[in-house]
Amino acid sequence: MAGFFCLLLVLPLFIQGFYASLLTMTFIYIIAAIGVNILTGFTGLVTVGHGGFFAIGAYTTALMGKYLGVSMLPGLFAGGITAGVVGFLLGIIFLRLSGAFLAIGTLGFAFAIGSILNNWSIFEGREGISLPHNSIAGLKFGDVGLYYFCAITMIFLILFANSLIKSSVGRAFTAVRDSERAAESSGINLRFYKTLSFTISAALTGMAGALFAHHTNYVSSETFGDSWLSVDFLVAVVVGGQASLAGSILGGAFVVLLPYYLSEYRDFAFILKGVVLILVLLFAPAGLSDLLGRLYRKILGKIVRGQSDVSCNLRD
Amino acid sequence: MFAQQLMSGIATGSLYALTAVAIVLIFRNTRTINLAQGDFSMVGAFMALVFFQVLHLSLILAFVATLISVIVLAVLVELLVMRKIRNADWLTLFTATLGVYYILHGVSGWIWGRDTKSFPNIFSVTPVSIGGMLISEAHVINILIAGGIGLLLFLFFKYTRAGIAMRAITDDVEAAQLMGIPVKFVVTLTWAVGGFLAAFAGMLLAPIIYVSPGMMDTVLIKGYVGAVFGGLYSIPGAIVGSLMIGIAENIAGGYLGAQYKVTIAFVMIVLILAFRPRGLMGGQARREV
Repeated sequence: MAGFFCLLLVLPLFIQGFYASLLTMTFIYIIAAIGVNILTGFTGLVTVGHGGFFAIGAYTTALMGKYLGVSMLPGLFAGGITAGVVGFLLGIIFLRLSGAFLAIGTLGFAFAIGSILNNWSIFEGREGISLPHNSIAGLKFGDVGLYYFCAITMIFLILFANSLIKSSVGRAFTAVRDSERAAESSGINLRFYKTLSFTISAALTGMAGALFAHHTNYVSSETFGDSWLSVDFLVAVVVGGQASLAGSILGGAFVVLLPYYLSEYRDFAFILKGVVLILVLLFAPAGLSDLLGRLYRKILGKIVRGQSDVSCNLRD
Repeated sequence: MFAQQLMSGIATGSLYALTAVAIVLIFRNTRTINLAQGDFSMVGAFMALVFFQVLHLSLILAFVATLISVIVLAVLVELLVMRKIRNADWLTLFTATLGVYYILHGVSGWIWGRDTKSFPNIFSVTPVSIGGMLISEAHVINILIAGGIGLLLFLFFKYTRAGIAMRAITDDVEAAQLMGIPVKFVVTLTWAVGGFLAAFAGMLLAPIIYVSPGMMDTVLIKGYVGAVFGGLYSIPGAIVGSLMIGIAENIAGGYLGAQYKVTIAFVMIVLILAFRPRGLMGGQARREV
């Protein structure tokens, strides 16, 4: 993992600014996918509405930039906090829901946010809001600057998510996912941990949304008005692998890079996305990270045949 | 004014009900929240255009051909995709229908393009007067057709062997299997009924919302609201829920402004779920998902 992070930090020296911009978008989706994974993969609460939190993060920083002249860094935190607060409230409202009902409820939330963006004049609907030039403390940011900003934010959030899921809180999340009754009878406060998971997950996705706004320098209900974003994040989690941070990295990259390389054939990208999704569900139901992990162990097993400790967990 | 909006609300609501009932039927027999239900209708609308305008079939023939092709599509989805993962958890089933959704979206965009196409008005939209209310003839016919389908479904579930077998699977799959009911076949039949309802929804909605790959996206959400109203279990509940959405959005559209039509459905879904997690009429729902 550390090698991967180092690679990300030296990469801009070798690639064009354009690819840096594409990778920046990938990092943003990875952050959002990790947010969704904390709720869906680790806590077992399926959400099809995180596009709503993404939009909240994006509009928070856009409006702050427009009316208060606030720069990127405070915008990032404000976007995360606003999304986290809304996530906290939604978590309380939907506390009693689970499974399919929660999925439909969160989908309704995403559409409600979309129609608010379309109808309330402050959000300027399809006209959209342009952001001021990206800067921190007066320093202007170009493509590569933003690349570093997003890469560092992503690395920081991956480390945060990693320590979260290894902490007692993370173990409480998985306990809630595996059996609510068993978790409750071992003294885990269901209400507290479900709401906490909702809040953290929404905050991460909100931060991703804020970065997205700075990356495109423009937000409008054209992007945030429907359910495509929410669905993309869920696809990233399912294709990459539930309850796996490496899975979210793979899934986020899948969701961004596949349509990009097929952007001239938009319909074909849709078809391929659907086919890959179904193939993954049919043949690798635990996701790409699990598939690659098994392949890796198999190859490693051939190389070091005879040694007995190959079966230890090499996924990270 | 109010009565008129009530009637047009019932007319649109009865079309949403076609989607909502199909969602409930498929969910309670297969645990699948079918995201592709709307796209079955969308493909149906495109097929109807092809049969009617390109191949110049007569109205009845085009209608029957559309019905058959959508049913075949739904059955194929079941046989090729859903059957292979039928024992997986519900999220897998749900995302698999999302995959189908992507494919149908892409294929129809590829074949027919992304621009919105108009659909000929089969029924006249000239208003007729019923008991002092002005209501368009198409609305009356839509209500009659949806009501007729509802009656047909009621008779199907009450009196035919296939219908009773479908209900048996809803109640208890294992017991049904032990009683010699061919579960796999009945599940396929459930998807076929879903396709049947989708074809009607597509053809009746097409003149109102026009034909495009994304035409059914918001209708699908409204179908979910109706389905959740019945706890994803009760067919009467889903019908009542859909009618209420139709009425609520028409009245909200009439008094608050047209842009609130869409918002109202989403506010309703959040409220219903927040206060009655199993739906207002979903008391019987027993299966945990």
